[in-house]
Amino acid sequence: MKPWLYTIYLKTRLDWRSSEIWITHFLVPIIFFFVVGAVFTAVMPETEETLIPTMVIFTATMGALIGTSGTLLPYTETPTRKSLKAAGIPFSSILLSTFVAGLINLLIVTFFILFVAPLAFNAAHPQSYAVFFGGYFLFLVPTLLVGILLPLLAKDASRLTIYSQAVFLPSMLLSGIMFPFEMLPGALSAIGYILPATHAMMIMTEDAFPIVNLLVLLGFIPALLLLIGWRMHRLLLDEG
Amino acid sequence: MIKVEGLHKSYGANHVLRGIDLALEKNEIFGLLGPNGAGKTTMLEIMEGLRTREEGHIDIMGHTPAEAVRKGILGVQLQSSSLPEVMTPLDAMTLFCRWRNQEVRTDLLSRFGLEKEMKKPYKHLSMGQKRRLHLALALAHEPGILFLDEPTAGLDVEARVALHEDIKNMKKKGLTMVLASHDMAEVESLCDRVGILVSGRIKKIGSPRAIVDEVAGETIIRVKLATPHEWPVFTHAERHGESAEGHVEWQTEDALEGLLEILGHIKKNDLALLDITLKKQTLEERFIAIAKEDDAE
Repeated sequence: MKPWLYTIYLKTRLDWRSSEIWITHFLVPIIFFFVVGAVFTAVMPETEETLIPTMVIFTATMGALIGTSGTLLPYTETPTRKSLKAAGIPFSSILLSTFVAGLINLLIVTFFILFVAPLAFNAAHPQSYAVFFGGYFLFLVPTLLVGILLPLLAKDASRLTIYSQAVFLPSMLLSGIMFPFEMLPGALSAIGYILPATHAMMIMTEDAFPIVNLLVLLGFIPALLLLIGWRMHRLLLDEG
Repeated sequence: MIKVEGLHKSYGANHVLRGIDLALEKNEIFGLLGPNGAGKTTMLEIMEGLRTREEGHIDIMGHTPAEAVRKGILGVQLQSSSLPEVMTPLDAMTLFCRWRNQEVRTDLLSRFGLEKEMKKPYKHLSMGQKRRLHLALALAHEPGILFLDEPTAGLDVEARVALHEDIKNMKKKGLTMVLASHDMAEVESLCDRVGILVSGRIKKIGSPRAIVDEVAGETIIRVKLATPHEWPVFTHAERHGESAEGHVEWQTEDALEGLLEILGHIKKNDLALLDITLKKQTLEERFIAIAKEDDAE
């Protein structure tokens, strides 16, 4: 097996051995899905219309920002980073494998939600699966990239928790998945507008691609890749 | 095999390496000694391609350190190596070998006593097992040069002895090794040559014996008599002090003449001799003296 493929395979397996990944990628999103599905659809039947996009955005945001970022942190710590570098293992292979492992896990839960939500809670199917998945991938990619960037910025687990929560909580509260985006006051909606989750919610509840949201999500990707490249360069240039 | 010329490195205003020149021969074990903060780890990590340098040239079998890492010429056991907690020795060995396009070296895990721990998560390995794992990983691609930074730090006596045997066996197989250590006995017994790094400069270089022998007056003669005695002043031995156990000590530049003079005095005065020993200065004492010389400068 090629080294890059093996690294992806190993990282995915290692993630599955991590209780943190089981909690953040699978258990909490699925439990939250059942709780929200049962309670909200009973109290507010209109929730059925947005249950699927809401839950997949929640799953991806939590999984990437809290789960994926946490599994990458040990690799960014100096002794591990140096051990890998001294063995000729490119750090980029670790970042790529973290990205792919996160993608696989979150897709599994997304498909679970897509399959179960209409059956269990009478949730509405996406108006257009092409738009839904297009928007979903355009959201998942930058969200995972943020999950990769955060441990490159944080020096330890406590700082990573602060950084992760600083992105996770606004993504939950200001993106329109908890409350309609239009109801937010001006300043908060401005903050919400710079979050990928907001644009994902706008795309995934439409039947055609809103071009502005599409461009914003697309714009996140090169910007985040540049930031990751810069941080990786800083980390690897000199360990001092 | 390895040539280092004019190596300089600073961290901000802290000038850690101030012009290191060094040449290592094939199949040599070179020991790097130095007090804490002398720049040992920085020097090794520059040679291992893990850190940048400001000035200087490093040639490792015709390659830069980064090229030598890529080509698998170097094997590196870092002072503070680590792996993710959930990774097993087998996972790590497989990962490291895949990146070198070679068969997975489970034989090395067995050789270093990790056969039963192959599938144990890294977090459950003991300090000694972790050290041995990192040594096995460093050797997986059969490098020509091995860097060992404090390889026995934190190991118990048994593991330390086993690792020393491994190092000796690796030398027999033709490996060139650079060993940084605080353990003078380890360096003295394993290394062909030693460099003493103080304040970013190599102050002494040579075989451990040569470094110890180059100083005059390093022999201490210790004598213990049955009864107290007023000793005269000797020509070839200078009174050095008295130990808590009642040994009188002389320091001499000429051990034979000094000894003959003291023994002659004992015989002439018919003194009852209980104990007499000759003590050469150890590498540790020599190292401390060199470090102190630097402090005085």
